Amino acid sequence: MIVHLPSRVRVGEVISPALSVAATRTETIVSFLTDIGPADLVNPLLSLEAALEVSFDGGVSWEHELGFTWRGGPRSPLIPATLSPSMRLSRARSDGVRLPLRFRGALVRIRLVVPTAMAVGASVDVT
Amino acid sequence: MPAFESVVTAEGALVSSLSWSHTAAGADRLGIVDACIKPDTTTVSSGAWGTGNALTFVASAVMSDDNEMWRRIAPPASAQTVSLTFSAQAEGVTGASRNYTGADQTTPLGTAATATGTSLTPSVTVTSAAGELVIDTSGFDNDVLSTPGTGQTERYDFGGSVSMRGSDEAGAASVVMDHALGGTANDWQIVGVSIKPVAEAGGGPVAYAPNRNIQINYGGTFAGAGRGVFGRDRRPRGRWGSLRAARVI
Repeated sequence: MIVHLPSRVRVGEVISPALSVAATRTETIVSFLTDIGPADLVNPLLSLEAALEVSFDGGVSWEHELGFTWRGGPRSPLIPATLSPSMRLSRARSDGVRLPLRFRGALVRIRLVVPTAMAVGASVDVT
Repeated sequence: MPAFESVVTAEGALVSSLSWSHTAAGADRLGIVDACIKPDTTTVSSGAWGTGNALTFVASAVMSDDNEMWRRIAPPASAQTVSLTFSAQAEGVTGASRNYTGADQTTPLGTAATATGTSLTPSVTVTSAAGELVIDTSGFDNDVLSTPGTGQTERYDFGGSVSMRGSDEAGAASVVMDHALGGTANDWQIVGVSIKPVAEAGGGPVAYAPNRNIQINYGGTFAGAGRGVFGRDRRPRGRWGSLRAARVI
């Protein structure tokens, strides 16, 4: 299941539509930004915050589930020029993780905070 | 002995901070937050386990990546955001938060030990004691699976451009924490430290009942028990220790 925020020039706080997680086990959540231009990726004046929020009460209240901040700037030549920031919350190869049952039936949405106008999209893949 | 309660792992690329939700539970909690960051010049500048609950730095080991361990005494027993802020943009980063119960709430950790190397067998020797629990975190400059050493219980093992694993093992005078990695030999870092158990109730008046045993535990390496006479014990002549706790048993 994918929550998608289409790519376009954005500024300020942007919140995606909410989608309901199917009543299945969740193994991995991957949140990533899309379509940031190569010039913007290395622009140190640009930054943004991305978060996945979850609601267990039908959208009345929202909790921060995972997030990251990104700031443009020089990058290692070893990194592909078009690679966008991303974050993964996973069941991993471990015991004791509560992720698999946590999201059943919950609503999830993306929230971006973009201080300076820039073209960006975002996706969250819940599998 | 302290006990493992829960773990949450997160991974990021090209980020200057990471955050995730962790719900801790149990009594006498100790939150442990581990990170492995590429490049090694990027470090954790600050972290928190919930609003206003700053993390305290424990130790780091630096090779190709920067491997750090932080702690938080008594993280709230509710859904909280664990956050790490980095000194610069991290090309790749892994983060993990663990909650342990039964930990001393004043001085929860012993002296940390660190090691680095280039091989498939990260290893570090940690000074500990019976009744304690040794934990470790180890980063590797590749994403590989690993097998923990004998006696260790693996709590997480994951990664992307860098991988990280963490485990724990019952304490003893000296505990070797190690992992067998797959793939090709590369740079590794490892940090280990011992969690001290919560102190028994003591330091104040102890209810006395006639004809009951009174157990006295000392801060040294031995314990004695006396019967009927408070304060009398079986320490060998000439041996002294600081009184830690007394209780009617």
